[in-house]
Amino acid sequence: MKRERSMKLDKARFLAFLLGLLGLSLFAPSISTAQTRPYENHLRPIHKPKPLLADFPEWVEPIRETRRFEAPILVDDEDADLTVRAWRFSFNARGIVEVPNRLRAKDTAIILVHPWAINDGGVWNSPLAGVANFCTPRQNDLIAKHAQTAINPFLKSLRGRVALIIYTLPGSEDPIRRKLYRSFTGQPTDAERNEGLKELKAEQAGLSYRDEPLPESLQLSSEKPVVDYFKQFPRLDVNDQANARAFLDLPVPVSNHIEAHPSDVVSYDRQRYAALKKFLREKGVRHVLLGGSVLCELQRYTPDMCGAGSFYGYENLAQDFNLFLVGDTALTTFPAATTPRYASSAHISAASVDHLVTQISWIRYETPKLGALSKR
Amino acid sequence: MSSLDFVRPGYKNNGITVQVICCEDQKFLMYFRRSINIFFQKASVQCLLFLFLSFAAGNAEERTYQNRLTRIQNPKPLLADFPKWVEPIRETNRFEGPILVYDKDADLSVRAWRYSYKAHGIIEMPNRLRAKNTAVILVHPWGIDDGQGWKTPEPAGVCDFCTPQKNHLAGKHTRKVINPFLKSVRKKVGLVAYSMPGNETSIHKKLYRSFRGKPTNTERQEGAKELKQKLTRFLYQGETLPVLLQISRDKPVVDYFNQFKGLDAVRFNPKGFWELPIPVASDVEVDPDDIVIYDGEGYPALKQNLDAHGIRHVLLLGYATDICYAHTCAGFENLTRDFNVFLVGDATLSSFPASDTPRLNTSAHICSASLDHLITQLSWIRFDSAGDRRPSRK
Repeated sequence: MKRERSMKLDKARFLAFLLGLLGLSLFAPSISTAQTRPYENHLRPIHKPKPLLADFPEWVEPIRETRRFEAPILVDDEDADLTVRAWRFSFNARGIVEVPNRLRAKDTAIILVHPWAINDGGVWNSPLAGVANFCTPRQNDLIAKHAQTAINPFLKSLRGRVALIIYTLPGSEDPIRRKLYRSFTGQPTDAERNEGLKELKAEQAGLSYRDEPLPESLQLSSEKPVVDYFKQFPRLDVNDQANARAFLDLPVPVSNHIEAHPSDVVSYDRQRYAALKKFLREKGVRHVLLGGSVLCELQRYTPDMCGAGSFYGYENLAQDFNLFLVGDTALTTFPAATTPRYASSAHISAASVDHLVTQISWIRYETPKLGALSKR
Repeated sequence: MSSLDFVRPGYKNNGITVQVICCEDQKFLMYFRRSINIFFQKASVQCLLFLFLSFAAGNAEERTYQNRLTRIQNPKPLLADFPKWVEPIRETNRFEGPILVYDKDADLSVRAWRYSYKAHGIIEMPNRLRAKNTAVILVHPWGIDDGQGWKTPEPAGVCDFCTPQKNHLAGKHTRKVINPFLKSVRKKVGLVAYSMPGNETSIHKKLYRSFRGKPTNTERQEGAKELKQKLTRFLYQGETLPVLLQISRDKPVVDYFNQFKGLDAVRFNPKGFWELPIPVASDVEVDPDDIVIYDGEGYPALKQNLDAHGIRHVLLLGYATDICYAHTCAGFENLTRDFNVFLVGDATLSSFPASDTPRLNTSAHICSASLDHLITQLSWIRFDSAGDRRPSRK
């Protein structure tokens, strides 16, 4: 009896196993095709290509690499309404590969890294030497102009169409900025905004700046005077004598040249990347258009530049989202130069080895036409 | 369980293994105390030695440097002699500082500059060096695509500046800019050296002088023959680019880059490529007295060897400004700690992806480096001719 029962059980198990296998073989292909698609990496040479990033030569030196290829469409969302042509450089393909993309705007966020409001004609001005943002008032002036002429019109053109516009700022969410800006956790009322603005002005007016002159004399050894010189007269001197720390602890607002909308979100560096990722996921964001006033190697490799942790660098975002660096909205630091255009071009070129780069004029919103878009 | 199971081994300090204890094993604590005692005994000896050395160092000549900056009116662009290779630097906020390096019996003038955010501008300063205490080091002049046999693998391999076209451009820079400079300073400076990746192979040993020894002419000829055989027998044929990728609906860009990287120096280069002996570029006329430094031997050995040759100043040349020139064994990040380093801004080229010229990238990287390092240029490096008058220390 026992043996018969056990045989019956074995048969039942075997039947269940077969049914399972059958089910898997029926459903597995449909699961995998729903999740992935084959991408034919055919590279077609582009003849006589025009320079890339050539719309704002004052800010970014155009990229004149002539060995260029066109690849098939990469991001191809259903109901797409945002065209984002982009490119990357491949050392192995020995040239630039351009790819068209079709995104759903509602799944897309624009993130603008560190649009600091320093020396931009607003309330936050610093007479201190070498402490904030692009580190000299003259360079900060230039950046403010870039925000005004390149970034702000771009944001205005896509606000309300993309899911989110986010600004990253240094520090944590303090009581003043909580009243000023929408954050991951809440949105202030108009009354709170007005109150916050008043408090911000008062806070900034309350700081008396205390700068210090350059070191007048240095003690140098006869053997290693250059080593001693740089130790005593370093690149950037944010020391307490010049109360730069107190200055940098002030709540940093969004640049005066960006017309921040109440629906725009501010993300604070000390919240770290995980919080940003969670917020973006909750809002259904899959694509990120990334720009900003400080998009440089420093961010990529030493993300603690502003004491913030690895938050705002594009290396993080590129692991979880379809990332597009908007090359002409991104400027890099430019020591020893009168213009950021060469340094920006060099850093964007370097970033293009691992990331897609686009430009403002290549991001086009269009109302979707029913059934006409998919070219899959 | 023994407490040793909770110990993190291998952390050594002053020759004593310092263990990290995570439990209370009596036997182990005794061992730890004994270790600490030995440590302090050794440390006290070292303290005495340190005090003696610092006393001796205190007696070494020291001077007060007056950091007075005088504005330079209508300054000319910097690094403007080779605009094809380096975009000239046009910053107009420029200052002159007093002489910085001032050797006794100096015979080499090296004007240099750095950028200071604090000063809001570029600071230039003259320097007077003793040439015999100066080394000219050329970082990574790889002999790739230069006719010696080592070639970029086809169709998608990468090496050095990562495409054959870019390697040819860099070769031209070596030939037209660096080689003439080396010829002009050789026999005048203390040392001309090339840093190369990896370790010395038997072929290298026959070809180049190192800090350990110098090959004879016969050995050189033999080495050249062996090198040619080894490099030309290799098949420079690698994988083709991927034709089909699998990308997800959600993250196609992430998947695309995971499967088609911007720089893959392993997959597309055939096996054995990176084990071949890398020669010094044929665009450099290597002198038998020139020395090859091997990165694999490490910076402490290099420092020791340079010290032994009486080197105190380094004029640094080489490739690529943003990678090996900065970060390898003889890169400026290491050398700057112990030597008076001058980056020769027009004798270096940066990597230049997505560009048909290295000039913008080189200029940008040199500018960044100028925050922490002195920059000079070839035309600013001048040897005194007989009867030259030295500038006054004032």
